[in-house]
Amino acid sequence: MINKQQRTVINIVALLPFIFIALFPIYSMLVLSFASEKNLLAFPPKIIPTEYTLNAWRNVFTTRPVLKWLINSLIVASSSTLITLFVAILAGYSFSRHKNRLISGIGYFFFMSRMIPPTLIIIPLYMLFRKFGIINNHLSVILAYTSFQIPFASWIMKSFFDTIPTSLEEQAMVDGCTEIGALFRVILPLCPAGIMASVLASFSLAWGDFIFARTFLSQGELLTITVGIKTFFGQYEVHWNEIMASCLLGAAPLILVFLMFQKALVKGLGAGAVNQ
Amino acid sequence: MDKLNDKLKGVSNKTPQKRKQYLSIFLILPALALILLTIGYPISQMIYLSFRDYNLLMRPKTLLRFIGITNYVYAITNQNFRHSVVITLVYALLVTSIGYIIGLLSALLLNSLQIKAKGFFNLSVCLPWAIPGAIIAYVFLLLFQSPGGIISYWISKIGLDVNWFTQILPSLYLIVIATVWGGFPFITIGLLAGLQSIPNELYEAALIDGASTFKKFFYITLPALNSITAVLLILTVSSAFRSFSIIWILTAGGPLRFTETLGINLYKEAFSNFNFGYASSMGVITLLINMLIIFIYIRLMKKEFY
Repeated sequence: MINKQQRTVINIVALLPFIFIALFPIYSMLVLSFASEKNLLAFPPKIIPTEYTLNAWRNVFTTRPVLKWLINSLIVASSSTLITLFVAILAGYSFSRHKNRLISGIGYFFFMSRMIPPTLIIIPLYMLFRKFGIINNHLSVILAYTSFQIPFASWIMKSFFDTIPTSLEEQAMVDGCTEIGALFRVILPLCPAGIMASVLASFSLAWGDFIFARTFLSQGELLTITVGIKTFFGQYEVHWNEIMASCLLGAAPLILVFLMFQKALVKGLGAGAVNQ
Repeated sequence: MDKLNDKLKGVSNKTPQKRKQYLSIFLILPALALILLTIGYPISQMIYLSFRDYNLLMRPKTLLRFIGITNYVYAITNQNFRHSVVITLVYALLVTSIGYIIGLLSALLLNSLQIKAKGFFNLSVCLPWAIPGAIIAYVFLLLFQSPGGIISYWISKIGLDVNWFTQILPSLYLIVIATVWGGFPFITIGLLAGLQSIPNELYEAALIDGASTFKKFFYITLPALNSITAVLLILTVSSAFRSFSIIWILTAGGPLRFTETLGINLYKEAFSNFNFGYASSMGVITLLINMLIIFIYIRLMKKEFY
């Protein structure tokens, strides 16, 4: 029989391939952004570069509009997240507390719209936004992100509201609060984890989007980071270290958020998946 | 806030039941309006366009002419379209099955780990989840360059010397690998939550009965994961149908349109050939396939969603 200690060692050794697979692309993003051009073109390729340079990082911030793209991403992701949060709190509350036929019908419709691939609606949406005159305007992507965030965010809010006993807001209403007042003053302060989970899920959805930004925005200074990096490939030579540096910048906010709020995320999304 | 309350006062003289109903609709209205505007309306528009001749490269005279099911007939008889249906299904199947196997193995290993540094392991395995699809694609573009990519070099060392971008099957494997890398942590997280909800008494009882590790796995662990597995599989399949950026950046549907999934095919028809009518008919067909998946999902769950 193997003892507990040996078991743990075997367990960790068995996990190593998974950790390697998960971390290697992230490691290479980081390391190759500091590698010299000569190193990147070397054959056989080097896992650990022998020549380091800060050129890529300097170029990314000086000659490339990467900072502008990051700010654009931040603008569209946070504005859509804010709109979504407000709207999803109201909708999630309704889904949780006002169960009737109509509301569950709408819930069903929300659920369906969550499964719709963006590619499907992109043609009519493009035509609609052209009519509104918001092509090449951040409003177009903000609007598109918002409606793709709402179903999931309101479902997260709903499952958190479900855990709070109705007697709380009934008490508040007896004390003279309106139902909406009770929602914002009594119920909402009790589920910061729910708000956090909806914000993170919505923000990462918008930050990671490619197709809407690629279709609705075409001017260089309006692009978001995910789409902007693609323009690096149009030139005569591809500077991979600059691409890796920009990729790292584009992934960093979500990686940081993930590291900081991993528990809330896993609780919100993982538990959600179990209860669904 | 006051505005909302003012509006509600208008209905306060109704019966409480009625009032509650008005409030519930009122609360849901902003969300519903936004979704109807940017998802509901476009879908109805897509169905409308799919029966029309709408090619922006043609004379405006024939624009929007009703042409019945011509677009659908064209789609079904078109070899490229049929290929894209097959390749989408193959892609979804590969991504889901490989992703599930990796997710299950990593979740089992993470779950049985009983050490203090457990959090570090959880975090490392699940980190790819935080990386946006487009970024994944750019990184894999470099790692699989032939020659010169680190991973393609390693793979060539073990005897699989292929060009991942110009050869037919490797290009499919490439988009599958990149998608699985970004997608398996979601399955790991879901299954971990499922594993942790299995009561320990079940294993203790099995221990008393002298059940082997394999028996415990097949008679306790797997059955307990059934419902979460169904959810995760359907969500992964549907996200494979949504997948765009990874394929677009890595292969753009090439080589020779081999990795052209429904989404990529539709997008090219619409924004390269400006054939909006035909692309819309593809959209409707994709929608029907998606509805089928959702229907299966709902039958599996047999639960109310909201």
